[in-house]
Amino acid sequence: LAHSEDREEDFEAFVTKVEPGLRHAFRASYGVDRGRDATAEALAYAWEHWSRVCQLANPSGYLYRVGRSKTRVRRFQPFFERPVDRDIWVEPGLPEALASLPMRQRVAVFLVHGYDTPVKEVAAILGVREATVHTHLRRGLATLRKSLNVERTHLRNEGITELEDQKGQENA
Amino acid sequence: MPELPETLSDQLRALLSYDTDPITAAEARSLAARSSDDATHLGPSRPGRPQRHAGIRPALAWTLGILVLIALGIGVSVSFNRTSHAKPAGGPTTTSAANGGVVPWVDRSVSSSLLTSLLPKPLPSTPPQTNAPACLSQSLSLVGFNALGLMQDDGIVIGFRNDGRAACIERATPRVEAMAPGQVTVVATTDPVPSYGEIVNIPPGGSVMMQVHAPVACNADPGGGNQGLPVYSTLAIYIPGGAPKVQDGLHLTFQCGMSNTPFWSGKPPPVYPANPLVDLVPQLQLPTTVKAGSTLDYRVVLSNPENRPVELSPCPVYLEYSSIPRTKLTYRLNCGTVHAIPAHGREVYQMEMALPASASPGQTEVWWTLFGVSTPIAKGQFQVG
Repeated sequence: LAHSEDREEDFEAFVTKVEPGLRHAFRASYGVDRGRDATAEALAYAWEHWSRVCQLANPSGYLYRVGRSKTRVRRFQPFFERPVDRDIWVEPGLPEALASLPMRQRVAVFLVHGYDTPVKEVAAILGVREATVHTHLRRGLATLRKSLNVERTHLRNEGITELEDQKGQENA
Repeated sequence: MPELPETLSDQLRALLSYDTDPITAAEARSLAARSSDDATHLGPSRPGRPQRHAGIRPALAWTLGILVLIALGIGVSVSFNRTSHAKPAGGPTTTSAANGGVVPWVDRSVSSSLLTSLLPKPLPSTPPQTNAPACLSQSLSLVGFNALGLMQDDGIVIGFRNDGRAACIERATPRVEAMAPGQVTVVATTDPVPSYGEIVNIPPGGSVMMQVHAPVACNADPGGGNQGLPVYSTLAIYIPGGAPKVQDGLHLTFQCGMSNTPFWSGKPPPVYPANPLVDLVPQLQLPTTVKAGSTLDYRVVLSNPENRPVELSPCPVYLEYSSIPRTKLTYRLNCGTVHAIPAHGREVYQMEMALPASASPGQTEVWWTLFGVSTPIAKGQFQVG
């Protein structure tokens, strides 16, 4: 019984540590609800295979793949539904522009610029090198700028200071 | 008006501000422990692989239910009503709206476990046909493939078609080999049929699938990555009694080996019993302005446009939800005196929703629906003052 309780405590601590990153990554990958499903599936898998998962060097990266695998049945359906009504004060084209990004670029942009996740952690989740994450970010942001017809986009990490709408400038 | 977020980071945060509740360790253990046939079981968790199939997974049912409700309701039956609200005079009454009364609100919150138990159970389905003779190799043709994952980094799924004149079934797992110039041939190990598939008769012209898994990460290499590994572009699929089927144009790497399933068909979607609550159309009567930190007092008019009454038994559960975080609530309807809504009749229900003091000023939206698949959703707006 004591062993079982220890096991559950370890798993509680593990979930506390990895769940936010996984949920954010899956949300970026699949949208809110399917993302939550994938997170739950991945963590359920972790519990089922706890003896192995607890020894992994990069459990987040492994479970991210597990969650993607578990949602495979719906792979061929479009994903990342536009948030309804809640976000009318957000740039209207942003949800669609994000949805049109390749999945890894979207995950990188969401995690780094939306959730302030360190690039190193994003690299672990995606199972790629940090340089690759930077590439995803650069390409993703370039696509977003183009999709939103925005000349420059403020990003803390890039040191640019304001959002400038190209059309607005032209009108001015 | 809310302040417009000026930076992409701010816009992303605003977009992400509506988040779901985190998955807890208990929920993960519960999901792992439950079998799909025991949708309401909430007993102690246990380790080990659960039995799963393509039906609604219990621990996710709550989330899926809400998703279905909102998705269907927004597209089909959103109703707007922004009329001013006047609180009914006098003390609480239980008279029916037909007599000019309002059914008072009762504080009967509902647990997620009860919601799970209220989700409809699929109707029994006819067992699939599995009595056809074995397929001949020449009757199965390869019709194409799709990637599993980006850049085939999880493998591929290959489609086959029964070009024969009669139904057939292929129970054996075919041998699959991957080939590349100058490389050692890789032979796949065997995978089971996925939980959402089954081995059944393949009608003439019908299709089946086979997955070839080539994951880029595994226990032996959890970090994954396929840089520098040889790329295999050709698979040969051996079905007994004929020449191998060859699929070219692939981009597979095998740092974690390769495995393949038998030929399987997707399980048919579950069919659910009719839900009489879908006939009830809600409309909201909301106040114009409500202060943050106070109670939103509003009414729901439930109308029955059909020619038959709708019984409120078992007493329905409703879901109310606003664009303010943490205002997603589920309650039992007050069924104390009103047990049915007559044909072409209606009832008015008082509703209450506590608004957090942190609610942002400005236009706020509210959704209301009876809990169940495909029930209409009402939507309204008010100002947080």
